[in-house]
Amino acid sequence: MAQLEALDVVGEQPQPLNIISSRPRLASSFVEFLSYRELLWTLTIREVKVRYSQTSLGVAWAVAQPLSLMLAFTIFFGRFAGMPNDGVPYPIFYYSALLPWTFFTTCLAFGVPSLVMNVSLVTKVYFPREILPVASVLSALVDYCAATAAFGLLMLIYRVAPTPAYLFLVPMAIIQLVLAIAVTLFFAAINVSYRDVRYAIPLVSQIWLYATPVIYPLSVVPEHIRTAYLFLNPMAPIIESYRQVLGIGTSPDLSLLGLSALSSAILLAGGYAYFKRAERRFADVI
Amino acid sequence: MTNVVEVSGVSKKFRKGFRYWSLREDLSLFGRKILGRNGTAHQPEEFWAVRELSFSVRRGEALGIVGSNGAGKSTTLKLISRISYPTEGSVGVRGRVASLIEVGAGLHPELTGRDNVFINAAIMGMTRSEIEKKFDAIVSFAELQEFMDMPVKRYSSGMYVRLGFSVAVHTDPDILLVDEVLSVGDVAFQAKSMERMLSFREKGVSIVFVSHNLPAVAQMCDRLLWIEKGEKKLLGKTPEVMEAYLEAQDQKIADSKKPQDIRGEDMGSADIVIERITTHRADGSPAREFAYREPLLLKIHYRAFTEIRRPCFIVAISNHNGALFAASMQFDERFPASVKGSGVVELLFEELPLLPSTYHVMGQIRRNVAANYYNPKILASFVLRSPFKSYGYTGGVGLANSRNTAPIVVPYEWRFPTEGTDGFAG
Repeated sequence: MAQLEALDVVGEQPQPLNIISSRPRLASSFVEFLSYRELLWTLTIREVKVRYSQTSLGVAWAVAQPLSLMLAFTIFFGRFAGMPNDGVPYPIFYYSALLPWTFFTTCLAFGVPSLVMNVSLVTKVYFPREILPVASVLSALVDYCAATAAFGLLMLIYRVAPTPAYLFLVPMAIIQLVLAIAVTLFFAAINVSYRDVRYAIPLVSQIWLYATPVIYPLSVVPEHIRTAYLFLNPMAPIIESYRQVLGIGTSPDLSLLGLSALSSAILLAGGYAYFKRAERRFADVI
Repeated sequence: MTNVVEVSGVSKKFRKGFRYWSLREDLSLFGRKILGRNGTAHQPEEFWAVRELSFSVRRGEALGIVGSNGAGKSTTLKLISRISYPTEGSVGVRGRVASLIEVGAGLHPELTGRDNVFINAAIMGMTRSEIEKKFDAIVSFAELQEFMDMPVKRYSSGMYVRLGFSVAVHTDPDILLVDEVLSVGDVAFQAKSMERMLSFREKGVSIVFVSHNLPAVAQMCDRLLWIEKGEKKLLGKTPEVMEAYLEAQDQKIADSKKPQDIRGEDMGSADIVIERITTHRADGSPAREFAYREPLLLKIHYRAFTEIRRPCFIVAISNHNGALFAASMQFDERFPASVKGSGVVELLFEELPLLPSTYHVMGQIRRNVAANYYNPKILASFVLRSPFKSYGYTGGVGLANSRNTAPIVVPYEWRFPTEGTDGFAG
């Protein structure tokens, strides 16, 4: 025994006592989250596999959703109601907006119940809980990529050539990812304590859809409230930028993009802080 | 020696009744608070699952936690494993914690065994390269080589837990938390699991072990923490705490005199039950401590609810490994002619050929010898305490070690017929 102790002293640094019950700082939570990236990756793969192995259409669903909405919007809002389209063909006008929007609602649909769906994990094993909703968001990214590839077909049909502005899709996708993670974290945490959220989510995303320039162009929003509108709804600048890039082929309004990057970052910090605070009672109330 | 787990002044409060809160409930509470009215009528009831608990686990030590159902054992483990957080107090750990709290958590029915091994191992904190290195060992430990490409939903429940358990025991933790998981699989797999636990111990992994399987606890643990109603009752060396705990359990059995309660328990035919067994010296005086080769007199207090002819009594003396010796009317056919109401049957073991330790008395009673029924219960315990000299032993084996040796002492002698010849080269 004495020998063992001596070995201890020589062989390794004494490990520090980690007070696991004290409230961690946001920065150290984030460092811990990063150290679990392998688990995040594994759970993301799991979610993608499960989602596509359970459905007979598989990945086709990811394309069918924005595509069928695009058709409906084109026929009813475009042809019948004659919605202004800033000169962009309706299918492109709608598909370019539905691309980020579908991604966003998919994130909510899978991410918000992700903690409750994995009760056995949350109550039996420790890992940073944000892994679960973030894995849902990342797996929605696969759908998003498939839907983006389908946009290539539309481009062929309408003979739209890609422009250098398409490079803006990368920062736009990142901003949209940050926003999706922020909102999903927030609602997923609330959903653990209040199961009412699950019923509220479809309603909230429906209203949010109307409040976002998906069906209509940004130009119909009254000019004097447009700034407030764009600031209060961080999805609005993202959708508008998509339309700018994919529909018209020009660079997005950089101040718009900056605005949504800022508000998404603020929301992410807030959502993450709320999540980490609520996390401590997940296992008790879930 | 360093502590790897430090629990100091920890309390944990739960809301009783409902598992999660509805918004309406909270809004009305909030509303009442604002209006300054007392909402006590609808205030959810609270209770303390753990209260002011302090203990530590030293490096390389195995600590067992015992207590009745609902005493707070599992809550304590969850606090150490960081699944749940204390309401008050603090919990600290040194090193990597792995919990065998429920094996198979996170196995996904739609995915194959192979996929699930990787997912489950990642959940337990293993890196991908670690998993790849240990994959074959995990699969062969689970004995599921042929089933790795089958979706887990087609597994039997035994295969399911074997897979989960196998992943869990291949993690490489500094601290291992174990909660009632050694009861999975068939007997052979259980033995293998227990062996695995013991090898963790030999490697110097600190273990916190929660189980109702007292023999396993006794075999595994250096120290025991006994908690009752969330509070620390006793903390100390395994034999002492185990003895005190079993004594309290005996007392509980003795206290529950209402025959209806006992009838509900599975002690044999419902028509006749053993209410309790008490331990005595040969002269009939009650005792709990005996010496080597001392006689043991047992008084079996029974209650027959109808007249029963020729009931069959079976009593065994056991330790954590199971029965050691027994007296059974099945074999000797010395049945009482007829019993009715309350009464006592005495049983005298002429000597106790046992090493120092705690032993249990298990008893059962059958309506008749043919009743096919076997579920003996521990009904009493006693302690054997004798200096090693009285056995004629001179070696330095202490009490603490005797629980891992053969406990029955039959007089013996060594002979050396070849000593001094070529056959015995001294």
